[in-house]
Formats: sequence, C-alpha cells, structure tokens
Amino acid sequence: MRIVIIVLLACLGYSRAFAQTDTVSVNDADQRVNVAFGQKNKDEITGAVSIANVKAAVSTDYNVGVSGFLTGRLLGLIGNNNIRGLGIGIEVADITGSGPESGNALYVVDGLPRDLQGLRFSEIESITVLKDVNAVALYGSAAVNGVVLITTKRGVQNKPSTTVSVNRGVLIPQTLPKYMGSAEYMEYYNQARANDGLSPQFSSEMIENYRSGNRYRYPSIDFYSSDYLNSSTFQQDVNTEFSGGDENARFYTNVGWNSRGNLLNFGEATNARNNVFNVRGNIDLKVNPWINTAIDAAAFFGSDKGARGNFWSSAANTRPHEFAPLIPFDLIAADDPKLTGRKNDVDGKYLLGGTSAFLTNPIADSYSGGTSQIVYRKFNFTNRINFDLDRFVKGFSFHTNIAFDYTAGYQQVVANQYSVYTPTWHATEDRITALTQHGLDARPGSQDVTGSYYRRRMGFSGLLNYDRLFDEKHRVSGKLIGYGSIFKEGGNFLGFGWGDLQGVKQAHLGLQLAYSYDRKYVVDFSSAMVNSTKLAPGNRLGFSPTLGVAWVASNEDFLADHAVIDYLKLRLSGGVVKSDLPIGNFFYYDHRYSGSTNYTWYEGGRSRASTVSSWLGNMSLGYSGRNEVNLGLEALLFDKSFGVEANVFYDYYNKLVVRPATQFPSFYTDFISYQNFEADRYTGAELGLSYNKQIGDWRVFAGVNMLYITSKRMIVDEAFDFDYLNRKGKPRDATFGLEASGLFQSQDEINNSPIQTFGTVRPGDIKYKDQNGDGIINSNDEVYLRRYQAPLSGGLQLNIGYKNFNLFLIGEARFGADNFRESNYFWLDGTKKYSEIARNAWTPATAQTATHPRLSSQTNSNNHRRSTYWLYSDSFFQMRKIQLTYTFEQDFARKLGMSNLRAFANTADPFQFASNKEIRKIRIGAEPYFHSFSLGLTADF
Amino acid sequence: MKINIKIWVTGLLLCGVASCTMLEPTDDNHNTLDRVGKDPAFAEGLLLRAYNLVPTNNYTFNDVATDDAVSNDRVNNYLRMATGEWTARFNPESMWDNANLATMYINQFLSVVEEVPWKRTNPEVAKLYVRRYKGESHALRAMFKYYLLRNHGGLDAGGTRLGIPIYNQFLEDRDGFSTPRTSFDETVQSIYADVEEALKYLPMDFGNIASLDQLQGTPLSDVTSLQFYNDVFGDFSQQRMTARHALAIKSKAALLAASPAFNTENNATLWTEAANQAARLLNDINGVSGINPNGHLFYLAAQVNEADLSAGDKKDLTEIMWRRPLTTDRDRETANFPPGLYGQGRINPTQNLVDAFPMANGYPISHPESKYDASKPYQGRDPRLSQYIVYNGSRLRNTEIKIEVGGGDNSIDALPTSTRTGYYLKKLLREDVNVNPASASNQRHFNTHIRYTELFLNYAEAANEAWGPEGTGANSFSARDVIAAIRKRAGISQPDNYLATLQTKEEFRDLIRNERRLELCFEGFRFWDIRRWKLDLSVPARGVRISNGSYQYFDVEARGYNNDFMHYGPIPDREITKFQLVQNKGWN
Repeated sequence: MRIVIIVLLACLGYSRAFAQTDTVSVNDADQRVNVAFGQKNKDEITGAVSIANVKAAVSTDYNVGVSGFLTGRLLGLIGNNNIRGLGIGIEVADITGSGPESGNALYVVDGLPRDLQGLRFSEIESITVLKDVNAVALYGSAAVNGVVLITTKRGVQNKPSTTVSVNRGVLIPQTLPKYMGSAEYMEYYNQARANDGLSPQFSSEMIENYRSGNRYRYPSIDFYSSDYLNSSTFQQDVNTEFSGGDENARFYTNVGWNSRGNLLNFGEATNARNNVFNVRGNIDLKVNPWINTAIDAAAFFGSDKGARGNFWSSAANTRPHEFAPLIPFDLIAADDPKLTGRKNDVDGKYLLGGTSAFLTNPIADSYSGGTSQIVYRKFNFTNRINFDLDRFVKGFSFHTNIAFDYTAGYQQVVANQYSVYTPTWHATEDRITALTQHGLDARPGSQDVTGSYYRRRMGFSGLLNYDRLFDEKHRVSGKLIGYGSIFKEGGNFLGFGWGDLQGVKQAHLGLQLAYSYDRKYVVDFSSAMVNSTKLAPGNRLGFSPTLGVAWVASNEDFLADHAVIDYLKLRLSGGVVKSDLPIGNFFYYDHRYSGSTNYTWYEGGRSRASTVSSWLGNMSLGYSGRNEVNLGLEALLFDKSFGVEANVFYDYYNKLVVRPATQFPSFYTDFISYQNFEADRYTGAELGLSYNKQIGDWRVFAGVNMLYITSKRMIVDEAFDFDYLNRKGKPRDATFGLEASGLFQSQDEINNSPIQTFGTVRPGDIKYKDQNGDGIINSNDEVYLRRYQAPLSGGLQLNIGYKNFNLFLIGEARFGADNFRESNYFWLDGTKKYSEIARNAWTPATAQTATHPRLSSQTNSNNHRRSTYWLYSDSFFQMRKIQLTYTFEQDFARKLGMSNLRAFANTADPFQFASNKEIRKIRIGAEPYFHSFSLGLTADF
Repeated sequence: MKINIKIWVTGLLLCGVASCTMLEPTDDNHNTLDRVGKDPAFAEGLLLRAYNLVPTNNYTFNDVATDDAVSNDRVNNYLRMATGEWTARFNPESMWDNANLATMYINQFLSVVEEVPWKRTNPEVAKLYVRRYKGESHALRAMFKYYLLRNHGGLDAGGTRLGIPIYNQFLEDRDGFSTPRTSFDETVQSIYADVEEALKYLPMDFGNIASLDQLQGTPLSDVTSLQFYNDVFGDFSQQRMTARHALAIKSKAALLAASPAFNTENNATLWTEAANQAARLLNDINGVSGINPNGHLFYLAAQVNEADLSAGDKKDLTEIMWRRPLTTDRDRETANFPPGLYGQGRINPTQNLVDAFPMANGYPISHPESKYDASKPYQGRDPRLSQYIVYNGSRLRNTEIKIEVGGGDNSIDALPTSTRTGYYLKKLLREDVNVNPASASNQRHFNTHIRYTELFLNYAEAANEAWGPEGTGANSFSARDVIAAIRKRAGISQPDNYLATLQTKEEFRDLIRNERRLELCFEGFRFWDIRRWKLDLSVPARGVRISNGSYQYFDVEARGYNNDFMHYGPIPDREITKFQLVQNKGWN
C-alpha cells in the first residue's frame, strides 16, 4: 500500500509540472457508455475506463484510420495499442490476430476481437478503453492487458443523412539521412585503414577523380538526391456515408477510397501506388416487437503496387562508388557488339551498370526488373440478434452475436531478369572501350503469385442479460455470457511461411453481478471461467474473479449543492485475470518428441529423420495471472467546466511461463519443461484533467492526460556471478550493457587500463568501466542502462472555436525512455556505407573534439555494442496534428444543397520537441517519416 | 425475417459443432516418448540426432581463426574470436552444448535400445540390430568425448590436467547436472572404454560379406545367418560408424594425450601408444604402400567419382576412412570463388601459409638451396601451392585471377567480397562448378570425417617422438617413410634431398608439423594443432599487396590470443556459475 501512496504522490508531483489541462474522457455522469457486453451509465462503472469523444472529433479533427486517431488521446493509452504499459512481452494483439497494430491491448470491434486494418474513423460510433481487471474480466484470457472497445455506426430512425468528405495532402520527408559521396567516403575509408595500421586503399589521384571526374566513370551514387527521389508525394481520400431508415429497418453505409504515392521518381517506381477501397453496410431490422437483429458486412480491398527491389535498404548499405547505375550510350563506341546486341536499355539512352558483386540493384530493378503488387482483401460479417424478454420475465433480455472475418493477401510479381554491364574505360579518355556483361535479359511474360496468406476468425457470443430498477433506488443487474472465438492464420507471404494448426482459441463463460443503490453505491462482480487449450486436461479451467465498488459522493446529500463539486466518484476495483496467452505453445504438458533433420548414409541411399525432444512435459503447468488493485477518482468541478480523473494501480503478473534454463546445464534445453516461473510487478498512476467552457462566441476545450508506469521483475530465471547483473529488481523493459568512460586517447592509456575482451583495442576506441574490478572487461561488467518504454507519457489536446472557425491541436509526449544509436548509420566499421557521422570520428588530430570512436575498416566489436556511449534520451513531445476548420454558414450551404459544409486544413506530425530530435526523425533502411499537409472538404447532403 | 432466423439457427449449430473443438487443442499427431519404445524408425531417430551433431559433418573453416587464413566476412565468429574476442562467454569453438547434447541422446537411446522391437518378425535380427546400435552408440560417444576433451580439456590454476565431466547416463537431476570434471586421464580412459565397448559389437567395416567364414575371429563370429548379417551389417549400413572409425578416434585421443599441451611430463610411452594406435589402422592398408596417390586431391572430380559407393566398383576412395555421402551443390564454391567468378571470396589464405609451402625441389623457401626468387614468388613451388591456393596470376575456371592492385573485382580489397590477403582458396573447390547466377551449375562433393592422410601424419608425429625419424617400434615403417611418401605424392622432385638432410628428431618434428599444416589445411586441424604443440598463437596473419610487380607484405589481421592460457579452450562461463565446475587456468 505504501508503494501505491508513494506512486500517487509522485504522480501528483508530475501533474503539477503539467497543470491546467484535461481529457475528453470526463463526460456527463448520465452518459451511456459502451462497456464489456453492453452499456452502462457512467456513474455505475466501477472499473477504470477511458472514453473517446468521437462525435466531437468528427467536426474538428479529420482522421482517415482509427489507429492514428487513438494516439495521445486517451488516459492510460500509450500510442494506439498499449494500455498503461502493462504486460510487457505479452503482445496480445500479435497473438490474437488483432494486429497488425500489434501491442499489448486487445481490440474488440462490434463485440468480437478484430484488427484495425482498414477500419475507417468515419465508420466509428464510439471507442472505450477498458483498463482495469474489473472492466475487462468478461472478455476472458485475451483481455489480460486490457481492451480497446470499438463500435461502428448505425442508421438512425427517420434521420436520413449523407456525408461526403474529400481530402488531399502532400507528404514531405521529415528528414533524409546524409551519406558521404564517393570522394569523401574514400578519404575517410583511408583514414579507417590508417587507424587499423593498414595502407590506404584509395590513392589521392583516384579520390580526386571521384571528386571531379566523369560521373559515369567515377560514380558517386546519392540515393537521396533528386536523381531518384521527389521532394514529396501525395495522399488522397474520398469517403461517403449514407444512413437512414424507419422504425422497422435502418441502414448505415460507408464507402471510402484512399490512395498514396511514393517518393521514387524513376522507372516503374514512378507508378507506385497504394490503393485501398472500403465498403461497409450495417443494417438493423425489427423482426417483431421483441426481436431485432443487426447484420453488418464490411469489405476492404487493397493493392500496393510498385517496382521490385528494396530501394531503401540499398540506400542505407550500398557505398557510393561501387558502380554507375547507368552507362550512357554516347560514351560507348557505337559499334560495340555488347551495345548493338543489347536486349534491354533505359530510355534508349543508357545501359544498366553493375559489377560481378552487384548483379542486381534496386535502381536497375525499377527500370527493368518488372513489377510487384501486393493484393489484400478483407471481409467482415457480423450478425446480432436481440431478444427483449422483458414481456415474459421482467428485466431479462437475450443477445447473440456471430461474426466471421476473412483476410487474404498475396503478392503478384512480374519478375524480369536483366543484365548489367561493367565498363572498361580508355586509359586516358573518358570513353568506354569494352563492356563486360553480367547476367542475362529475360522477360518471362508471366506473373508469379509468390506468396499468399490468410487470416480467419470466427466468433460467437450469447448473452443473457438482467437489468432492473426496484423502487427507483435498487438497480440489480447481471450478465451470463458464453463466448468463443477461433483465430487462424497461415500462408507464405514475403518469405515468411507459417502454418497455424492450432490457431488461437478463446472460450469462456462470463458472469457479472452488479448492484447499485440510489446511484450512490455500486458493487460490480465481474468474472470469467476461462478454458485453455494449452493446458493439460484437468488444468484447463481457470477462474478470474474481480470486484469493483464505487461511491458517487456527489449524490450524497451533503454534497448535493456544493458550490465547487458537481460530480465526485471514488472507485476501488481489484481481482485476477487468468490468461494462457503467455504460454507460448501447445502440448507443453506432454513430453513431446518430433522428427527433425534427416540423417543420410549409404551414399544417400538411406535417409531417416532424427528424433528430437521438443520439451519435457509439465502436467501441472497452469495459467499466468494478472493480479490488480485499482483506485480511482472522477470529478467535475466549477459548473462542470473542470474535469478530473485519476487512477493509481498495482499489478502483479505472476506464473509467467518460461523454461528455467539456469537450473539446468546449457546443453539440456531439449529436455527442460515449461514452467510457471517468473513474476513482474507494475505500479503506476494516471491523471486526466480537462477544461471545457463556452464564453460568448468562444468555445474552449483543453485536456491533458498523463501516465506514470514503472515495473520491477520479481522472480527471474537467471544465474549471474555478480548481483548488479541480476535482472531481478530491475524494470521489465530494462536493457543491460557496458558503462563507457570516453575514448582511449593513447596506447599508454590502453596498456594501463583493464583488458577489454571485444577485439583489438586501439586509441580512439571506447573505454569501458571495470565494474567488478577484476581487470578484465567482459559481459560481467554490464550494468543496467535504460528502459525502452517511457515511464511517463501523456497527451495534450486543445480545441478553440470562435464563430465559424475551429482550431484543434493534439500532441503526444513520452519521457524517460532511452534508446541506442546503433544502426549502420552510427556504427561505422568494415565496409559499411559512411554517413556524415564519420566526419566526427576520432583521429589523433581531433582527439579532443571527436564525438564518435575511430573508424575501422575491420569489424569493431569493441565499440559496436550496447553501452552508455550510444545511449540517448528518447524523450519527446510530438505535435501529432493541427487542424483549422471553417464551417460555412448554413444558408450558404443550403444554397448548394448541403448542410454542415466544412473546409479544413490540417497537418500531421508537423514538429516535435526533443533533445535528440534529429536522431528521432531519421529513418534508416526504410521510407522516411513524413510530415503531411492536407486540405479537405466535408458536407452533409 | 425468416432469413435472419435461419442465419441464427445455422450460427447456433456452428457454435455447437465448434464448441467441442473450442475447448481442446487440435490433435496435431505429435509424438511422445511412448513411440520410441514402439516404432524402430522413431527410436533410431534418437541415435541419428547424435549423428547429426557430429562436428565434422561440415567443414567449419575455423582455419580463419589461425595463421593460415582470414575471412572477408567481417562478422564471421571465428574472425571475432581471432581478433581478441575469445572468452568463456563467446566461444565459437565450444563443443559443450552440441557434444553433450549428442551424448544425452545417445544415453537415452542406450537406455531403450534393448526394448525396441527392431524387427518384430525376427528376434535374431532384432538382437543383431541391438548389437549394431549399441556399438555405434559407444563409438559416437567416444568421438563426442574426444572433441569435448580437445576443445575444453586444460589445466586448472594449479597446473593439474583436467578433462570433462563424463555423462554415461542420461541426466535426470541436479546431482547429475553438477557432475564435476574428471581428470584428463580419466576422460581419456573413458574414451578408450567406449571404444573397447564399441569393438565388442561392431565389424571393422560395414558391407555385405560372401561367407560367414569372414567373421571368424571377429566379435560377430557367432552370427548364424549370412542373410541376417548382411541385413544388419551389410552395404546398407555403410557410412555409419564402425569399429575402424572408433579405433581412429582412439588414435586421435592417444595423440592428443601424448601432445605437449597435455603430456606435461613428456611421457614417451604416450607417444608410443599414439604411434601404435595409428599403426594398427595403417597396417590394415599395408602401411606406406597403401597411401592413395591422389589422396591429397580427394575433392576433385576424378576422386569424387571414384569414391561413389553406388557406382563403378562400389568401393570408396582408399584415401577415405569415413566421410559423408555425396551431395550435388555449389555452396562451397559460391562462398569461396573470387568475386570475378561471382563467388564471395570468403576464405583468404595467408602469406604465412603460402610461405610454408616448400619449393618443388623440397627445400623451404628460406633455405639457401631453395632457389626461391622473391620477385617471382610463385615459381618453382611445391605443386600443392597451386592446387590449394589461388595466387596472383593463377587460373581458375579458365580465367586468370588478377589479384594485383588495379586488377578489377578480384584485386585485393577491391570489393567487400575481394580477398584481404592477396590469396583465394582453391582446395576443396571444384573448378567445374559455375556459380554465375545466369548459368549456374552444381557438382558432386563430399565432406570428410577421417582421411588416411591424417592417420599417416598422426603416426609420423608420434613415431618420430617415440622412436626418432628412422624408428619403427614394432611396426614396419618409420616417420621418415611416411613423410617421404607424402612428399613424393605431392610432387616434390625426387630424390628428396632436403628430406635426406634432416636427421634429428627436432628437425624432423618441424618438417612433420609443416607437412601436416600443408596436407590438412582448411580442414579444421590447424587451430587445435598449434595448441597441442604449444606454439606461439599470436603470429599475425599476413598478406601481400602486389603493385606494379612489387610485393609488399603486410599484417592483415592480428591474432589476439594470449599465449599464457589460450592453448586450452574455456568451459562455458555460465556452467561454472551454475554448477561450480572448475575453469581452466586464465579463463574467466
């Protein structure tokens, strides 16, 4: 308990630093809120729940997808997929197929687990984040880390509506990596060789040629120049919604098209497009006065088309001087047999260049390698039937929900082969005397379907619901739920082949019993009897009980007419959620043997599979558990203009499943059983503040939410020689490494220092601290360096309206996480491509000012390992979006046959504040991060 | 509205059908230990698991961690090891996990081998299978113990010679896990014991016999049916481990025990034992006269074709004692051909190794009589130089390989895949393989476990130490006879005048070691040989940069080994922490 209080105090400490802000989630007490398997009045909720104000966002904050909308917006949600930072290592979304936004949260869309791929923001009615065990228990095992509950829109009776939105924007790279050209690279490579005691690789004459000579003879490929990239690309989106209906039938449809280009400006890549088309139809039908049904169908078609080859990977790895991508005809003798006999060229002007080591490259791929198209499709179907049994038994109703989702994708490739040419240059003149041809030109003229995958889910639930108010004071409610879902995926996509025989099977019974008295006192017992297909018969059932109590103090007489407090609720909830998701695989209870690699003898005439023990069976393997206590407060103050929500929580994840390898010899792994062994503790607090006021023509909303989370490993499978190496007691997301103490300045210093066992050490290499004083630097000198999940995170929203204008801003902040500069952009050795970082490398001359260890043409394992040298603070405040909206006068809109005509301009990720902004912005080996700027119109008809 | 009811009813039915499978895992037909006792193929799989872990199944090319070669793969673990990263935590030469794991499977197999119904219809054949499998198990276990001892045996801080923990039973509990290391001699005796056990069950060679009379005087003389014998011990078992292979392991272990690293008191009887163990096998091929004239080129087309057990005379190359079956591929060439031939140029032989090749007249290049011309360093050399190594101006696949500066892709350091030393590998590669992706073609290769050349060299080394260059002990040939034959086979011009000048044991020791270095290069011997011999481990790998006809020799890569203790490998650090095993001196 003491810890909880300390955390609470700490949290309040942090909150002062922020002050004066709020969340959208503090709303009216009477609001009906979507919670697990139904709706509740907000004041009857005993768990910790955050609610997104989707309706407000529609008119002020244009979003295409759902996943982007969530970031920074909701109290307790880190990014869009991580609830409170709990359950590190239990990537629920990954396991249950509610990826590709994999994270620790389970997404539930219209009652069953689903992924957000292709889900449009415009089709969303509500989003609720269920955070504590009491709020999520009814969802069983998969809800172990919390649930993001999403509900789609439905038609409204006698309110026909048509909404059209169009939007077009540009995407501008935030920054581009800066690499050295050939001449400079060669100089620094010579420096690297000198550092290794080797003679220069490139003569000064050669370097001079690469600096100023013929660019085909002395190439210097700059992948990030305008030769290959446009300065921006585009994205556009069109979305139409129709809805309406009468008493008996209602409908909602949503049709959308989104298209995005790419930065490359040459060859086939110019035509690259990612097109996504969505359609949804939600229908509600009244069967008779006490039965109604909902039938929802949604489909999603995607096509990502472009050139073959990985341009961005090559851009990060191919040194500038390796080859000339194009060889112009006019430098080759017109009668050269290789030229006249060519079967392929670029624009009738160039041959493709290359060497025996570069038989293909992504530049040539784009010109001549053919095309690649990734096609993906998704179909969702949901049917719900609601039986209002009130007329038969007072207070009862029965609901069913059946869903079927299918996603399929494949890649179709037109794979053309092409030859590349290595020119032989005239000794003195810049002309080509001969060509060496590598490879051959072939156009198969056919398409290969190289990989296909599917994801399939079937889910169903039945809910018997009881809800009755007695004497206007006693509200008694109960839910009995039967629930099941099977998720399977398989296929072979982009080189990843997998077959998922078992799939993810979730089945449980849920029971909720709740009572509230006069809207003052609320008790909620929510529980699940879960079944696991991963455990031994007899161990398969697990019971997850949770209890929540709430006191709505503002409904007490003594606070009824309080001058400041309009609403005040205190909550306490706790319990256990049992989960089998941390159990990685099936049949851990059997001593499993399987056939493995064949052994062959008798000159291949005899071959037989070897037999391998997969693991030793553990019949007593059981569930992992999340044990939690959550204490919360919600308040509205000062005429409901000021809202506060606060939670403190204590979570103990125990019986996490590992193979306790340190209890066994290292060679014994095949025979170790999986056991409920490890435990982690998380403690944290969250605080949301909001201010919402209308003064004359001004509308102001400001909100801030903050989360502080820290973890500690309590039981760990480990065996170390020194206490400081123990992971126990450190955060779950800790990384260990060496402590650097600068760079060695001289051989003397090296000789007088402890021996470092990571390869030859020379002046300019990183010097490490000998933690145990044994005179040797090795992995026993590693200490706790950082945690990768930000302990303090939050979001900031501001909305200011004046008459027809509205300005909306949202930003996201994370503090306290550290990262390593460890990509090839920073770790320069061997024959890697040099970034501009090389200019700051240590040399005897620059010893005092160098910010990077010496360059080396050999492998430098001493420097290139995780240590404090490479650590940087990853704290940031990122402005996620700014949008200015103008709503036209209704009279004007009506003249055009519209209503609610709005024009908006917005920008996503326009800027960030971070001490290491430049490192954060840079993206190596993949398409750059973008700023986007867009204009749009939306109108109702 | 009927439609909806139908959907609902169908849905409920689906739920009903689904619910039974919802609560149980899908039966994936996996196997448990039960099947081992019932299904002979599955049970044999346990033994095959051990076979799959034999360290010599593939060439490791750990020669790049010695003075013989470097790798141009900058993240090669042996490269990292050689340049100073070798610790008890990072040990690419560790046998600990794989060899002990194999031992676990062997022990488990031995505990069930008697109960498996190897041949349900014929108990007599079933018993023969038990014998063969027991024999193979013990032979394999001896081999794994040998490799563990070679790579992990050493001296403790007080100089006591230590072996490895011996696991002759499947480990079940902590008592077993914390089995202490035995003494060096105990480990050697344990290897010998396993070999002797294997000899009780196995014939010298697998292969069909024509008459049971051939079994007279062997452990299998009690077999009553030719058919049964041939079923179990016949052709179909070839390339599995036999008594002969077990004896070869014994001779290797004896040589290790006699070597300076472990024979700390220079006990001459250990050398005698090692020589006699090798001789026992060599006598079976008629000693020096049994040497295969092309044994040193065993990887080339003619020899590979001759070796094929499924064609021609169906007999292996006489050079080969034990090898893996033929495979058709181009992996080795893809990795090691120069970049100009579309290879990756991985293994780069050093100047150190090139200098170790004598002249064709037999004299070392440093010898006044050698006629070595420093301006034409590759002329007039031992033919093995051009057979094993690609140097500047060599021809490979009918292409001149220009390694001198400015020679294109194959030039030293020209590309990340070019040589770093000025040399490319040629040994073990077949020139009739094409790795050009536009017209790739494969050829047959095999990997060797044990070649007779190794045994000859083992004998020569031990015999020289035991009896001097001319001594034969109880055998019919001397160290000099062996070395003369090997050098003659290599193409050293006869008479071998240089050889004749060497008279003392010490002079001969150096020559034997040099011949061993050349004959067995790139086959994974050098790394442990220089440790057995307690030679200087820190000799840098050297290379040559040829520019305008001048030869500039330089250090390519340091050899960051500490001569104080790195003649012995470490015990994995984590095992010391967990089970309080004694670490070898110097490692921590």
